[in-house]
Amino acid sequence: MITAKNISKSYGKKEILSNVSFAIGAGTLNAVVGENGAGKSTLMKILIGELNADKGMVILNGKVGYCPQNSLIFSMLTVEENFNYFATAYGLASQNKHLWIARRNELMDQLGFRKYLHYQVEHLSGGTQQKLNLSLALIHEPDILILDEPYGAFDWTTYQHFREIIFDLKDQGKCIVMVTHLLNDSEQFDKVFTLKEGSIQ
Amino acid sequence: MRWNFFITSLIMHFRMLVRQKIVLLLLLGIPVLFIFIVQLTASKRQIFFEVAIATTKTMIKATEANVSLIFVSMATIGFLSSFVSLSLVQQYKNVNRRLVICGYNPAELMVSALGVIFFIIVLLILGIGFSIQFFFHPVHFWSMLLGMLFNGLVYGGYGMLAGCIINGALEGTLMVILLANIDAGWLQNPLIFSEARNKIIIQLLPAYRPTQLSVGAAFTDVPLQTSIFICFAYMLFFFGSAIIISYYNMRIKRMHKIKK
Repeated sequence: MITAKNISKSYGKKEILSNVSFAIGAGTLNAVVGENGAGKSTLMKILIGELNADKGMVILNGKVGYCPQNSLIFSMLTVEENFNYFATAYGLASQNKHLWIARRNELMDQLGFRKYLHYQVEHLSGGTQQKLNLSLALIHEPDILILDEPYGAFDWTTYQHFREIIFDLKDQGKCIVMVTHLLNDSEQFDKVFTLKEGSIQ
Repeated sequence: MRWNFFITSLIMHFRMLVRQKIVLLLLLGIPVLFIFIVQLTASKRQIFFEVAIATTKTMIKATEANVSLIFVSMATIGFLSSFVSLSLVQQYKNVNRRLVICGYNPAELMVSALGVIFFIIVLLILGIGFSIQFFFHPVHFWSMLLGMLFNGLVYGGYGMLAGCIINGALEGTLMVILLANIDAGWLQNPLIFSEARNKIIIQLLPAYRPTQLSVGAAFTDVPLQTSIFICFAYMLFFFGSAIIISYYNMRIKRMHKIKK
């Protein structure tokens, strides 16, 4: 579902990624690991098209959901308004409204923040903002999910719910790529890509 | 342009703007404060100066307080419209980029922001325009408002452009305040302009035509239509540049092939 061919990227004279290539199939959970500054977030941004690589090609087969490392949400809007805005972006608003509202409520119940639906985002805790950040990547039921350390501010219970959601999605045949530092349960991942000195080890 | 995308973005931009207390406070407070200060401080003596953009030599005779009222209003509109535009575009640049990745077209986001800026500027100039009427009656009220509208739109476009180019909030605010202060808040003062050396420099600044249009319409009968086209050109330049730069920055990069 994701094919990356010879991705290279430099910032000035510093080469961050050098001829990175990989292919990932459906129904797999994949980890991208590496030291700070190894180029993990850069690779994720190139995968979703936010950044241009200096050379190379990315092919994505399916709808993409992206959860960035920092919560990229509208702090002056309520949680509900954020969902509505992103639902419009995904083209869900013009479809059956009940379907995506049900999906929204299900996600909010799973992550435990439905009571904040009408709260303005700037008044929410960092953890709740991150739950919203993640939910906005899942609302349209993407085929490919690209997650850049999406759980940094989660408490233990929320992290467990997050794991359940991810494994459910994997069982449904979704392709998941996640930047992570938590490799204590590395056997759960189908592939672990270690970025070191610009290459995948 | 997809209308449901545009309308949703328009509503969300408007909500985000009106929920920022500092913006509302500035929009309401600054015009009242400036007009109040002018009324308390400006003298009532008669002054004479020339309408620089009139095709025939036209002199204006008016009280310093009335001229100052128009000039300070223009400075207020320039500062506020550029600040509001900057705030609206710069604050959520990265989140807007995420929306583009999710399916929005950058142009839909920028045009909806422009719609909100236009609406706020219209409200602002109506408020200021009708406030001026409490103190004196301009010769051509609606033409004076047109000059103010162009000033707001030109500076709104400038703020939008600054928001697209500059990432830091402080640097962006400095950039808009600096030009608004030097141009609309100082050099376009008719008294300073009439005695200035190298007038060509002042004539090239964005607030020149709108200020001349408003001052000319407020105190004379001279036709000033040619200025409208130049004001329009400045406005198009700023808004057009802002939209093109945003589109370039926010678009999904072309190396991708997404098969849905």
